[in-house]
Amino acid sequence: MVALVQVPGRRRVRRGSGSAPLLTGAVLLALLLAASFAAGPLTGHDPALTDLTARFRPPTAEHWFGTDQLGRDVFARVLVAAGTDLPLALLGAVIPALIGIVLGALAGYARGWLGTAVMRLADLIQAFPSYILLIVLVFLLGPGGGSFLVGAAVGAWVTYARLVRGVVLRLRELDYVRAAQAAGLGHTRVLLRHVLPNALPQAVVYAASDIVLALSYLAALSYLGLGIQAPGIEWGQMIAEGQPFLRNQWWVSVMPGLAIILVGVAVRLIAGGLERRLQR
Amino acid sequence: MSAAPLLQVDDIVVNYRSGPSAVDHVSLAIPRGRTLGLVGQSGCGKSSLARVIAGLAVPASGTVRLGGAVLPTPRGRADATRIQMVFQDPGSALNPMHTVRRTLTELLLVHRRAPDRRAATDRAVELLELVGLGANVLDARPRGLSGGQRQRVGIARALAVEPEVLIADEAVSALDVSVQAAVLNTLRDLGSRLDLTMLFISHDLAVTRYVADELAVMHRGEIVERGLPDDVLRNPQHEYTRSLVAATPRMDGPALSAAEEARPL
Amino acid sequence: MTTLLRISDLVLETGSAEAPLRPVSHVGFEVSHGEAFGLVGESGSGKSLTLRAVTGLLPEGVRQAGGTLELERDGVLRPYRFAEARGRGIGMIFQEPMTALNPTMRVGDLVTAGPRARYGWSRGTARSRALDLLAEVGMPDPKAQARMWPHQLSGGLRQRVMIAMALATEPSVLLCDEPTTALDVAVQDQILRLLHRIRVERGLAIVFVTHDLGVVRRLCDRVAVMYAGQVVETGRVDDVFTRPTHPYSAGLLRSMPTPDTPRDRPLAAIPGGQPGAGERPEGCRFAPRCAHALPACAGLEHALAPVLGSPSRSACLRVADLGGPPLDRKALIV
Repeated sequence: MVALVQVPGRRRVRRGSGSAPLLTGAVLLALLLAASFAAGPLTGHDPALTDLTARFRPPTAEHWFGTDQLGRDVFARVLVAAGTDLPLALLGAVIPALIGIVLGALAGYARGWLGTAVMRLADLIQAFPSYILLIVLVFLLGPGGGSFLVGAAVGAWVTYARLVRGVVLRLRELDYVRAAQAAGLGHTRVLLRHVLPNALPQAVVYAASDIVLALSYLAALSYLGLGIQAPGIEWGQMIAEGQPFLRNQWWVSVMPGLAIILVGVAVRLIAGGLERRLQR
Repeated sequence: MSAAPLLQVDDIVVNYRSGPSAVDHVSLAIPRGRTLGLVGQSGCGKSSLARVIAGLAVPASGTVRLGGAVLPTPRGRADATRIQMVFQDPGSALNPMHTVRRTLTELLLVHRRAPDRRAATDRAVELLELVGLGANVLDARPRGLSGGQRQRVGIARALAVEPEVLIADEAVSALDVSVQAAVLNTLRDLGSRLDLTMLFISHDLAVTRYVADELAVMHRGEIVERGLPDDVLRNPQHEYTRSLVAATPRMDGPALSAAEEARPL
Repeated sequence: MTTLLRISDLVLETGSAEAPLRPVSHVGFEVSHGEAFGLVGESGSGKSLTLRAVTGLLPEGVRQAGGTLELERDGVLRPYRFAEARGRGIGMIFQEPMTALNPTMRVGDLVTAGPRARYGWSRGTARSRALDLLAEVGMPDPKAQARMWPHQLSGGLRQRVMIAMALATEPSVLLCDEPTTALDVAVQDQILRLLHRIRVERGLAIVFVTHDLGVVRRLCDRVAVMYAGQVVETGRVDDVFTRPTHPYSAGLLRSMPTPDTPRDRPLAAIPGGQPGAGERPEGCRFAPRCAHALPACAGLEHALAPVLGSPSRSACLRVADLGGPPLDRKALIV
């Protein structure tokens, strides 16, 4: 039955501080990043060294994640790839977030022609599926990490701009913002000190979870051969290389896949922790 | 009240486009050190008018004069501080991220009411004491304060820039009765101690009568009646004022009786 | 008059089971058939939660930890099941009709959807009942308004629709949670008069929760004053408003400006604020704000007790010393 009366209930759910998941996630990512710089010494294998006599070794004490079709140590390669994937995924989320936050805040606070222009541009970009947009841009600019970042920035800032604009539009009507204006504080000051800090939390949480999306886009690009090119090492590229052998030598593809999942979990922890923290 | 008014508002028009509700050629004047009470129901235009006077909204026409000179719109930085406002909702009137210290010192420093941070903090404590709080709330954020305390901080913030006119827009409406009484006392006390000129806006006739030297009743964007508070309440002239007085529940008033129940709704 | 609804010793808890907070502790009152009963208090006093508990509509995280709720049926008071009571004996209206009415249903359907589902009314029956109810609550043009959506109505008319919905199940008591707080004074007065008329015509009992003493004065026969999760005074409105037997009720009455309050004196404010559920003092919870408090007040948990020479019941130990009628000390539960 349709609810006739919606009881206006008070939310009394107590939220934790969010520090524990935040810390766990951050430590996981930091460890992974640190390990990427020390992949050789840590694993005792050179990630680039091919050894055709040691092809397709299953995971053992010697090769934790086994070896691939060229006899390279998969564990060492997974670790080295983290040094490529993590910074690119991070930048792929942070750059569009910054662009979007700035444009969205201006559009929301100033309104007028600037706001209209920003929102029209956003409409235009949103007319294309973001992944298609990314592929087209990377195709035009040529494969590589730089192209990926440009493509990600062009497609993903829109969400942040909309999000932040919406929040700013609401905040600028609040009494404390009015009070700041009435007290003769300049617009820049009101925007930077009173409006933006209260609009940021949602965008920050969003950006944190966007890291996973950026990572999956990067991996997907590389899988298609449009991302990181050899001799660079990247998880998507590793998955693509191992795909023909998935049935019998599953570890070649599955191990980098697991790495992506691990990063996903870590990022989710960070985003969840941030959310709880900022919403307190 | 023959002296030239400090605040003079002439022929203000606000259209529905530029404010939450319309204001239809409203003029009013408040002599220095006096309090004008503006009573009206939600949507009557009293908040739109308040925003225009505070420089937060641009009227379609009309002028706001302070001490005889027309205030420009938009207000310049110096003029902006001359009229300050206390807002209704204790929940949104203060920046949730800023401590009381920061809320007050920011204004003091920006407007050079204090030479440095230390002096600004000292002045902030003075302001807090003026509104019945103390240095112990300096480092509190709004969510750590009660509704009454927040409203008091709001008053302190308005006073920080030493305004000539204070607008209180439903400033006590959201407060509980026992807290409301204390904040009202503070406002009245400040009015006389600082020789403040006040525009006190409320939907509550009895509350407004208590604080105001003169009463104006606003209805559908117009001032329909004005006069001394007790005259307006005892002998309302305009039909709307009469209905307002009749509908105001009174503690000593009659309970609903058989006779009243027969009255048409 | 016989008792229709009896709440005894109601305790509501939030938080963990080990260290619960009690927003409402040991609240009790009775409402007779056809009586208008006011439950008055400031925000955080627990008045709304108490009302919610009566219908079993407690917000998430609040649980009933004690007490009994009884409703009269066939001449006997007995505990009731919420679902059953909501459909028949108890109707409820809320403060904010804007959010409390389902925006996707037309007014006419809203009013009778409850009983239609319950009693299997035909479409025709439901329609004519809806028009009757809309007319009863004073909608100016029931036929036209039955076809409208809630958002097309003014706040006052929406509140009338809420009342019509509540009346559709033929309740014997109507619970009102600040239904006029969001309304303008004139509209509020209309709604109060409507409630009064319905009450007289239907013999309906009303429990009216509000922070507004003036509204209680206007509508109610009896009143319970709540403070910090307890009832501190209860009695007939005439008595409580003219001769309060608790310093908090007295202070509340004095602190509210009326059209006759002297303007040359400060208002009689009560110092401090109401303690939250986690910060309530031992003994009398009002003692820290009370000008008449004695050391003894802090030591004792006071229950409502009859006051000698007054029909009111008070939780104040010092009623006798405060110029009011003396407290019946034998009945004091310590």
